[in-house]
Amino acid sequence: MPWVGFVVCETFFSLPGIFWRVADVSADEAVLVRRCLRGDPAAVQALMERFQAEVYGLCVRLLSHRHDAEDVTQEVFLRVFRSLRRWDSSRPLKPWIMAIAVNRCRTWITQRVRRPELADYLQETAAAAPADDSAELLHEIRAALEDLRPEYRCVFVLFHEQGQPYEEIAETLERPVGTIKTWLHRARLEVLDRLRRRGLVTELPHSPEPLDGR
Amino acid sequence: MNCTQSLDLLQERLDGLPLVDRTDLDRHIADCPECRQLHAAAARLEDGLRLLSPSVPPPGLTAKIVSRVAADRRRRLVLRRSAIVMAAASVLLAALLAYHPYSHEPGDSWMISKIKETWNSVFGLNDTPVAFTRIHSGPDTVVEFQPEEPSLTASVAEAGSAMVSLSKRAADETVGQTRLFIPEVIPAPPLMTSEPMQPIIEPPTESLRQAGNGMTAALDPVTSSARRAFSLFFREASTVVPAE
Repeated sequence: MPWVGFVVCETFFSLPGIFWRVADVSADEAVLVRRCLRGDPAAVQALMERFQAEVYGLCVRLLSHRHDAEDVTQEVFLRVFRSLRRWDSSRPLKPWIMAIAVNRCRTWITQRVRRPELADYLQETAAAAPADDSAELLHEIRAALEDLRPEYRCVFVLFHEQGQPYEEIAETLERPVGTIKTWLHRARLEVLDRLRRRGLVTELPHSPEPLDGR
Repeated sequence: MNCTQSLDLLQERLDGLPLVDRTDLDRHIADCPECRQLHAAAARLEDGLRLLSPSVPPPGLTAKIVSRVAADRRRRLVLRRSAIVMAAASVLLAALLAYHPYSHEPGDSWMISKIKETWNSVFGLNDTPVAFTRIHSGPDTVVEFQPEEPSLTASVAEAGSAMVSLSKRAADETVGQTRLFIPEVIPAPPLMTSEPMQPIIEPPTESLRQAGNGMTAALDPVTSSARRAFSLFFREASTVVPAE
């Protein structure tokens, strides 16, 4: 039976390969961090480019304000580079940085008194949406996200926008995986309820549509 | 299938997990409008999430953050070095003050003598200089600090002089502050020029004459009254005719 040998080979050769890849990533991050600690500007820029988009995207979604997101992104990386010595090199770097970003956003939300900037979203949707009701759909989804509790919104954005698995989100927010699942499920139901109330769900299909994945 | 199971499948669907068997779900949502609406809304949410474009950082943000990080690193480096230098200097000074004045002969070096002068000036021992007594003999001489105890008289005298100097200083300050309020200096008035008095040496006769004048002036009312009495008497006597 040749498939048995294939399964055995896949089991015993691909799994260690996965661990080696994870170890390679961790070793690569450790080297990058050591270079940053020595003050290497190229390493600082490399670390920035690796995580900046996700940090900025999370800040935009959590703060609903682009200028605030820029300011908070700067603060996040300043704190990251100040406390880089305290990073545990046995754990991945990304959840550690995203945890700092979440904490900074939370602090910023409690301190600011400005109203959220919605004009950015409208411009973005108008440029990206086709001629159907997709623009309205996108706008309603973003508005629904703003109405969510901060922890629900954070979990929704990390899962659906940034594609992070439950375990990584749990590590970022320092909560159990079950809590993260509960928050995400509640966030989804609130968004779905808003879409229904806004009349964006008109068709009543008899069977769920097939999914293409996230 | 009930609504709870339908909801679980909806969450798995939004998690990205494939539906293995949809027969039961299709049967349930055909009879349950609530679950049918929820699954339709989930399909719309999936459409919207596919349209959701990620937020792209502005172009200059990376350079701005890199420069800020570099400046912050330089500033923290300077602060850390300054703290280290100050701590080292403090430890060195404390060690010198605590150890060297007791372990060497006075006047061994310029630094030691300065430290001792500072010690004496800080603790007010200018008048009673520090007495260093040799308590061991040999090459490694250890000197012990033994200040003399001032006597009661000296203490009282010192307190008195301190009060006097304090009062004088306060008075000087008051005068100085008062002068500040005077717009211009008022010149002192000139002294009156007068000729010095000549010594008067009078002869004794002059004194007697002045005494006689004084007596005359004093007896003048008496003599004038007596004269007027005699003249009045003689005038009355002349008009009396003696009886024949």
